[in-house]
Amino acid sequence: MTHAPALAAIAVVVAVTVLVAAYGTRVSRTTGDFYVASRAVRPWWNASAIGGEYLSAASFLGVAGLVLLEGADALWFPIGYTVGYLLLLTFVAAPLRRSGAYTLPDFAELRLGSARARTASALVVVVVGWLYLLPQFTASGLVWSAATGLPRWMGTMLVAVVVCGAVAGGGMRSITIVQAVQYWLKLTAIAVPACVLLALWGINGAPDSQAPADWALPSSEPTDLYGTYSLLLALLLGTMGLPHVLTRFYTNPDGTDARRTTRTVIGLLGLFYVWPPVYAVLAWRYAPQLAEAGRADTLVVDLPALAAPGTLGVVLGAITLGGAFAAFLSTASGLTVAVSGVLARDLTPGGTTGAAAGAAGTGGVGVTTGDRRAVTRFRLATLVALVVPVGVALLGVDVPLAATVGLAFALAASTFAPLLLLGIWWDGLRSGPALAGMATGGAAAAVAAVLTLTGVTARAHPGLAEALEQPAAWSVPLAVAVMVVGSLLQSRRERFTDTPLPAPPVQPALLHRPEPVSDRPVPAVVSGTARRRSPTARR
Amino acid sequence: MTEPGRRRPARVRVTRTVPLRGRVTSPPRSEDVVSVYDRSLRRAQLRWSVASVLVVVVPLLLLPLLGVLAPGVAALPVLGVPLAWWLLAAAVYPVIWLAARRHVTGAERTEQDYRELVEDPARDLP
Repeated sequence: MTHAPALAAIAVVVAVTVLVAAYGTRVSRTTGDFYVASRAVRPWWNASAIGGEYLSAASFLGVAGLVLLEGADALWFPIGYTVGYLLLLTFVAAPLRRSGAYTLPDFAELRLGSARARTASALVVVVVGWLYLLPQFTASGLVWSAATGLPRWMGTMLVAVVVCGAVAGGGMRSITIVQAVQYWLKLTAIAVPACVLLALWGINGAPDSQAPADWALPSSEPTDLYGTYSLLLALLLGTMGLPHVLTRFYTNPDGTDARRTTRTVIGLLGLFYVWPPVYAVLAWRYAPQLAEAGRADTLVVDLPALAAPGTLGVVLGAITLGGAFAAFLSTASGLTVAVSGVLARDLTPGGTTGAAAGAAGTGGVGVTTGDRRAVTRFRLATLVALVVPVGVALLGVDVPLAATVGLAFALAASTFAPLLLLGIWWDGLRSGPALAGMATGGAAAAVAAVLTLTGVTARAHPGLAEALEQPAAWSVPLAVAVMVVGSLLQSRRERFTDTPLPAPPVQPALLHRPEPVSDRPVPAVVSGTARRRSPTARR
Repeated sequence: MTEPGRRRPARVRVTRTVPLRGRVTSPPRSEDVVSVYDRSLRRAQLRWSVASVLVVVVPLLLLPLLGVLAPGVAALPVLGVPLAWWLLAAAVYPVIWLAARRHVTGAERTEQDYRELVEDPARDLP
């Protein structure tokens, strides 16, 4: 049986996931555990978990494929994915954690003092989450059938069932451990085969096939600049608006740890992203036949067997295949936690009462009736969160993978990024204009995506098609403008009519207050890599 | 709270009340919880955040221009690999990480200054 190594690799990854999740389920009992892992996740674990969750099918398989097809210009994708975290670190991480909110809709309500803001944000979370989940399930079907020769639906269902079990079983606490393990699994699975293949190249030399000359060079067409810049903006700002990434930040003990976690994530992402381009370079040497639209997406899985002789190639291929499944499982789990959290708490009536009871406690001490009810609700929501994207993936609708993820980023960048940035740093943001801005930005990005995917504008207006393909460069400023101008107009009207201003429940200026000295040991003023924290005085 | 009901209690987690010195020039609606110190803390953090992002993003945004304005430089082979690849595929990541590390150190130092100021407001006054 030629597919035995592939099946074994998938089995190992699934077994590790299930065992780790089962361990997490045993220790996970309160509502706080389910939603935010009781806010007691240490930076190193949390950073590994964020890395594990963030490195999706798009990163593990997609980046290498894009670089193979598009050359140096595609190197901007991983850069954008990483710099997005720098923006998250500098502008969002600590104040967001200090706001005390659970989810993005929580933040919207706390900051804007409006229940409508909560519902609107919850809807955007679900849409972005589903858009991002869909390619995970589609890709898992594709890779499964390519590697094992079995039908696609089995791969999709396998991932769906494991994710459902892990999320519904243990919620956030269990998922945190699963994802942290999977980051290191993925890094090993992409780095080790790449190193072996590079070593083989060094020892034996490589076939003399060459990439086309313009492949290796960044675009020299000035007209492509718009596309590059707009893509960068979407990736940079979109990262901070991705619901599964933000939910993770609430699992930090405090704002200072949120910042340190993000710093570590940036390191971990950089460590990973140097490897996918290596596969693209190797592919031009060993397997230039992979450089076509349909096959490039599975390049990381297919290349080892083509480049290394005999058993070695098969084993290396099985390792990267395992890594790909780790990517499907961890990203899909994180997104499912975020979407089902929002479905359970924000989009069903009475959702906040049961959850709030458990939310107040940060420890895993007692299990209340409210806890039990909230946990049941969360488990039901998990099913709903999975049914839609899995259903679409199973129907076999031919969705372009990269475009769907791009749409998720553009949508997040045009809605949540302005809300977070203005909400945290500007006192003047008002609820009505904030909602209007999110609606405008979201609608702009969505319309642009529909027009692009249907190909209407490409035929009518080739010049316009470029602007619609990467909408962030105009949809984000549009959303910001609506929020700022609307808020200024409203405050002028209030001053004129002498209406008293309702203060938001959370004063934006207070989000930047550090935790009190008594709460955490003081960091030394000197910089350096030494541990700056005493082991005592942890909550 | 001598007259309950007149003033709405702040629902914000207040760790320490700060004696207000001088006049609060910012919007008057929040003077009971937000101090001058909080506002200057936020201003300092915003300045530092913008600086940390610009240090990375400005050179990064200039890189696509390199390909357009000086394709020859971008193609310059270093150890058989074009310069653009070294920059885009490898060198950017340590740079981003170092910028992140520097940012965290600076932001924590600012917070430490704030703590000291709040604890002993008179210290920095002449």
